[in-house]
Amino acid sequence: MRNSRQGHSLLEVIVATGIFVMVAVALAGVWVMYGRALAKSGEVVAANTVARSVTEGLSANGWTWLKAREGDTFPTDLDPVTVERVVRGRKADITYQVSYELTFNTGNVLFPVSFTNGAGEPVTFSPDLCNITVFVRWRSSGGGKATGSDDYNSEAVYSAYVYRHGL
Amino acid sequence: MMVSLAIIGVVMAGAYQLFIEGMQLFRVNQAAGDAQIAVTKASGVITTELANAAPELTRHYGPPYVPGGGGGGGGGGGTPPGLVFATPLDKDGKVRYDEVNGRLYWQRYVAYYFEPDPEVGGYNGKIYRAETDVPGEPGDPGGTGNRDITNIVGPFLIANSTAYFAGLPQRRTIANGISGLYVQPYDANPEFGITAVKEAYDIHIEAGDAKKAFRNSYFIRVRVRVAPGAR
Repeated sequence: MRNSRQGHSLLEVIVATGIFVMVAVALAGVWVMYGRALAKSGEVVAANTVARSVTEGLSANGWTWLKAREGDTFPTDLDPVTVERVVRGRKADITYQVSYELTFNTGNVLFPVSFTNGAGEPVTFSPDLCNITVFVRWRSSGGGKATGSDDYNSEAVYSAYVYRHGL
Repeated sequence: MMVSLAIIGVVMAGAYQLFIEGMQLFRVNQAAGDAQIAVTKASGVITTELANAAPELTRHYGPPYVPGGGGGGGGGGGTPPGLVFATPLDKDGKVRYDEVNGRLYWQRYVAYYFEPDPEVGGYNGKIYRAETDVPGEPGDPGGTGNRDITNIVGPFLIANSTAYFAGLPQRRTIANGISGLYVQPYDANPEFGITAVKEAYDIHIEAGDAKKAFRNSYFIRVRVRVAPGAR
């Protein structure tokens, strides 16, 4: 019969401790995952803001400026944009690589699907339309595989149409 | 017995450290979440409404943003930093225009302005929105809004800054936890070497602990650009 005052053996203590440590580390991992997800969401919010801001800036430059870029090689890189961030007193800025692409509606390229009017005649849209697409790429602290050879693992894209007489 | 106690002691010390680190991480995450919500909310609300305004009926106040300026600014005494503009939308979001010549009736004067945290080192500043109706036209009984930019709408915006709107009895809190707001005209010259054809604004919004005063704090600054009446 087992002695009721025997207590636990050293092996039992070590096994119990091991289980406790494993559970504690696993739970700590949830905190880390939560932190990474939040950091990533902040980066995406900032990236979308950057993309939208760059689009607004490009359209504010005016139709003449946009049209003069028609022969350029796209996507065209712009200066990187840095969003300042401080986490627990340490700088954790995010630097975004920004590029843009302009597509003018020459030859109705923006609307490849043919439309017809009530009389069944083909409708083409004005060549004075331009599609501005801005690409914002960055190295996310949330991890993820690089999408290209330049080590960026995250991308946000913002697209807008502008009309010559609307600018 | 001694060995067991030693092992348990070491494990408990480790668990305590893990718990402390976890709590700090949790607090930072909480601060980050709050800051991100504040920035997103403020930038979204301001840019959406400003996009319906006209450049000539928009005025901005406060110092410009200085890169590397340390943050936590834009406040202080005097005129609160922010924007004042006229909107053609009424309270229901409807637009009224002259059926003969298409001119808009400007319905309301709107202001977004920043009030810093009164506590020294605090970062719970707020962005407020206040508005007042544009007076109707004398020959238009019952009608709302005014088409006269030259004599009515424009002069009102020149005469009344964000300080006037801060004194109005009714205002709405747009975002909490804001530590700075800067509004300045978009300058296309440094990047594109030109002067922008269309007037646009760069709005820098800071949220969180810009002064790094608290250990588990978080800070973010984003810039949103918006061209009133862009498209």
